[in-house]
Amino acid sequence: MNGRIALAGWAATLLAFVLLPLVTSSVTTNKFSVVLYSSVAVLSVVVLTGFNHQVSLGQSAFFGIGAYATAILVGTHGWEYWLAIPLGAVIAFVVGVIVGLPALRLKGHYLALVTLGLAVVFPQILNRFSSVTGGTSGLGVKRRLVAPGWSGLEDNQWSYYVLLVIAVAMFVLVRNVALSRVGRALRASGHETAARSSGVDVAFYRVTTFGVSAAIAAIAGGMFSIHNQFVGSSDFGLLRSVDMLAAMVVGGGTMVAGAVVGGLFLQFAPEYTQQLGIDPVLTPVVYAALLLFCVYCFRDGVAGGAARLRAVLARGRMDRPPSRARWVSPRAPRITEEVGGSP
Amino acid sequence: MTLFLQRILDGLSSGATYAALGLALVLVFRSTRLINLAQGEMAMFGAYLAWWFTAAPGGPGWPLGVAIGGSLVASFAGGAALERVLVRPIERSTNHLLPVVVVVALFVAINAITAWRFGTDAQRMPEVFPIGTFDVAGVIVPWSTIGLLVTLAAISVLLWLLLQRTRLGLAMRAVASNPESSSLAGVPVSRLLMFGWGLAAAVGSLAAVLVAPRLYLSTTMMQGVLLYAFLAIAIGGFDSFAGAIVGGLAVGVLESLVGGYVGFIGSNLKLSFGVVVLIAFLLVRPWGLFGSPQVARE
Repeated sequence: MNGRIALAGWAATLLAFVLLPLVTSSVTTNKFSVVLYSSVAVLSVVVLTGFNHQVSLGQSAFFGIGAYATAILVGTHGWEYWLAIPLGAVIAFVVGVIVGLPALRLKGHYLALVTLGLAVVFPQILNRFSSVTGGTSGLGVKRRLVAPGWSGLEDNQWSYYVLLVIAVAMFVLVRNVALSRVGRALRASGHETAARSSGVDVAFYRVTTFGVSAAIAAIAGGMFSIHNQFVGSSDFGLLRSVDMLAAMVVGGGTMVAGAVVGGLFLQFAPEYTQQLGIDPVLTPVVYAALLLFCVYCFRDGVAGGAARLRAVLARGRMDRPPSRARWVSPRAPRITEEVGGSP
Repeated sequence: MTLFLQRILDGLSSGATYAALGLALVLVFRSTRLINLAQGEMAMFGAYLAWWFTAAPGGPGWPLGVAIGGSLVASFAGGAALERVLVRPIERSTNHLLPVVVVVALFVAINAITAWRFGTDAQRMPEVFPIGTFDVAGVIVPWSTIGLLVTLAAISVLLWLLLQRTRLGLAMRAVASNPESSSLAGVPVSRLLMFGWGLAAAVGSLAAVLVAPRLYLSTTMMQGVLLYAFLAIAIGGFDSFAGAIVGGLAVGVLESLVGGYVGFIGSNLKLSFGVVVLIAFLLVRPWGLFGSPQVARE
């Protein structure tokens, strides 16, 4: 029953996304194009940090590799998008594996520190090779997707649907892997000793996850290039990594659905903060407050809360769905003593 | 030859700042076992406070010394409050992500609040040390460099005296090494954790105030410094004060020499080179040159 509710939820969400451009304005369609590539970006963080427990502040670099690979290949060299984006993903995968190998020896905040370095360094490298990348002034792609005549759609609607297809493909892929034996091994690798004693090759999964997550982020970057038609080095620094991480925490890090919520968060949170009358400069403070709230009170984010609600609806019990990983270790049981008497 | 010595001297000057921020990072790490990614932003805010106290239009216009003192006191209070309110709940967390999320949130929030309160334009910070230079065998020595190095030495000596020669310091060391036993022995653990963070915030703010005249006050001014400070304590050892000083000075000199002599790196990729060295140290010798190896239970 639980599984069927989940499937119904996904079907409804997909239907909503498919119908969206046909019933809303052009501006809203563009906003949801941003939601689509943001969701895939957050998905990469969910895979790496939510499932595999590797804290990375460097996903912006992989996102940037995909965005720049696509922009350069399509814009400067005239490649087709469907060749350029996978190539960007492959490059990112290789870089991700290279980063993932030393990451084996680094835990927790040490890994965060190193990946922070990666995020800070990436724009510097972009600026260093500005003849190719356009540096801080950026690079225009100038290859907008044009809707074919038979579709009867506007150009930006067609672009939205292309992004939707890519996003759905990524989500289906990740969800299927997550529910498979590989996925269980992947999540187990986040708890090293337990995983090793069950015969899981932890090192292989940790390194591969880094690579795969980098590839997913790169695909999101390619989607960004399709939509934005422009890349500039200041867009791919530490702040983007922080945004992605925040979206994962708020959306719900252990679940694929959390990535969708995260994508919505990234597009609409800044808008709503502005509408509430808060100075746009303070938007990061709102992010921070939400993040802290999720850390202290709402451990599994929005999607986690929704999953718990779903479980309650399914049976009236507070059962946990079987294939979810808890990302907070349960606290040790407290030992209480009675004062003055024998237990 | 003169250029070489000049570069070394300039490196020592930046290195003193990295070392000072590194001392703050080590203080936080020793007391709460956290790598405080937000230390640079906290320091930056402290520098802005000092600027506002003394030189900002609309501020109280205190003399520079009073302004710096006020900033240090406010930083101490702020650091202590942050520890108690935000950091305490997740200090003992086994989940690696939560402490990182908290310090990242702090980083982002402090940065935004500073920009909102003080504006994003770069500001001039009054010189703390006498302006001017003197010449030693062809090498130009600014008084500010001497001042920075002397201040660094003074902070180090004071810290050493505090930790090794006072009861407070003894209590801090006890809490750092074994909070549970210290609590059983009657040590006020909570207050000492707050004290550790407060002291770290004050030291960081002092470092930022001293470097602000050179870097110009801006919301991004401490970010590069922070990364180099982390490199410094990675080299020196995350829990070693001596390591922070040696590491900081070494990083400053290295940065100056490599940036000057290695053409490919130039000034663009200096930070990248630093990150590569950081990764190398964390992989090969995570406890640095002077730190103690961490033994952790899975």
